[in-house]
Amino acid sequence: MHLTNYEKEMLSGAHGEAPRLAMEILASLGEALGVERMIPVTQVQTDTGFYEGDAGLEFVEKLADMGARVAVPTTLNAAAVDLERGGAYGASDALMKKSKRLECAHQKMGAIPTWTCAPYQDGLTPRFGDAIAASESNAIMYANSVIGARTNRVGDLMDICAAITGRFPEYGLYLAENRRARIRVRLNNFSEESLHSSLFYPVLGYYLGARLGTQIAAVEGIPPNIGVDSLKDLCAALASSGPVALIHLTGITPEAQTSEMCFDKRAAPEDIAVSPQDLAEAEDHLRTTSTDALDWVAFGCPHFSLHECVRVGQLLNGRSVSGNVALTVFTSRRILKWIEEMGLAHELRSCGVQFFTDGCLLAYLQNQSGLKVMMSNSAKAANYVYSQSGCLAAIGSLADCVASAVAGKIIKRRSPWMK
Amino acid sequence: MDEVIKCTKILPGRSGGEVLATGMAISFWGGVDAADGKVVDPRHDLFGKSIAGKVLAFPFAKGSAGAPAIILELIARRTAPAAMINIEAEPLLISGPILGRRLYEVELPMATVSPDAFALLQSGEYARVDTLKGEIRLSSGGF
Repeated sequence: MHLTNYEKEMLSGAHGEAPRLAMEILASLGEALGVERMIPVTQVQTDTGFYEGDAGLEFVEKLADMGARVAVPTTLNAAAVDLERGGAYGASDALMKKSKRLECAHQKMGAIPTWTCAPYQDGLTPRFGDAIAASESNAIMYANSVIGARTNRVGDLMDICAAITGRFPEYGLYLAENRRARIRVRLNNFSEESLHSSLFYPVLGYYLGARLGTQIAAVEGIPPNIGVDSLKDLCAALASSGPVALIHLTGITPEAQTSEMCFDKRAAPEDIAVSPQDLAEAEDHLRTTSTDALDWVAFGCPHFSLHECVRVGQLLNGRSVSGNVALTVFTSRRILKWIEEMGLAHELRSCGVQFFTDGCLLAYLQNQSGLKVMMSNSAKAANYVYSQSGCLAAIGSLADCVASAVAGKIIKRRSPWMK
Repeated sequence: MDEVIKCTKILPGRSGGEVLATGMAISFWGGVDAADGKVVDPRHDLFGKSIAGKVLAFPFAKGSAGAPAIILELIARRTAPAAMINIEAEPLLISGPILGRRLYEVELPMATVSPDAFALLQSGEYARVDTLKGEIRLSSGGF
């Protein structure tokens, strides 16, 4: 690899032991991939605050003990627990202790305690064209596809190395030529009602992630005025069912304001069509429960936005959650603070809504026993609760989910693409 | 007679073991239990099987970027595969073994093969992987 003088100094230990170790690891990755140089990154989202095992914890503590300091603004992805409500979250003392050790190590290094998988809705948004290093799959997809920032799928632990050095090997989606679409996706015969239904986006994302494999596509026909929450749902679902980190949404993605802008000019794009039947099958696949029994309505995968909390308040409209159902909202500390200031958190809590911050909906499930059937507006959650924990799932719009929470059983209106 | 498959080195090393092959992508984070190396996704065709010590063949990795932490944990607990063979090398997946080598001095060779060669890798066979030579040596009778 061709390293700059500054990068060579890091590698030689001139800037301390931690930058040396971090740069050695990044350089090994670059060498294995045949990468020519490092790219400076302007922001990092690190997943190293999420306790996965002692090996990761020991690595992070080792870096902090070496005196590591982040070189660029570094946000923390969700934690494995709610650091303030460990008991209600169901976390064991051992897991809380280890998560607190991670919190402490990251505090020493200067990471921002965002504790969220959706830093882009907490105001920490990169600019168009920025090279960043993000490591949570929905945040990666959103940064590339909605903001037009550039990031690869940066692996856990590599992310903290990027934070300490401010560098990452320049490969993949950092390079314009690798961001081109080779597939054109057409949405065939979908009604306006479908395209403006909030559930359309997570189901479409789930379908496309599996269909596209590792290919970058451009999707034509998504109304340019759909909200950021729908874009978030699409990105999260796509990244949960497939390995891609970028999708062009024509008219939305900055690099795809027109369809001509984003295609690989060297070859005609392959055309694929998505039909209502395809989405109906994807929706069926996500529903792993066959009855209307329900014990958990889960929101916030990715972390709930402020507007989504507002919508839940409007939909509940003062009604209480059924006694046999838990309605939990997972969000960031900052968004919870905002809705507390609005009085909304108090109102929702008095209807029986439980709030968690920092932690992840999926990790919460692993700390609970007795949750057998979940309903969510998130295809990512419906996909993972089943695949990771064997919890049965149903997917529905926010309105369906709130109606179900009140009724204590699954209520699902037929989607407009289900004929 | 042993069958020899050509492979392209992604990470250097030599190792061997029983082949565990799947046509499905693997999500390590949430998809594999680091304690015993077992695949926990009920939709996966390797569900319930352990990847520990295996020559693990799968087309590519998918899902969460938590994979390197899980692979590092597998390496630390000695429940990691002996080698990984893919059709497409995911930089994300390479990160775990790179960390394992630097932090635990454990070699986990990785290589890519063509889709045709990939189809020759069948669960239950034995494979010796030498990514430095660019060879996977298959034998049904073990070594």
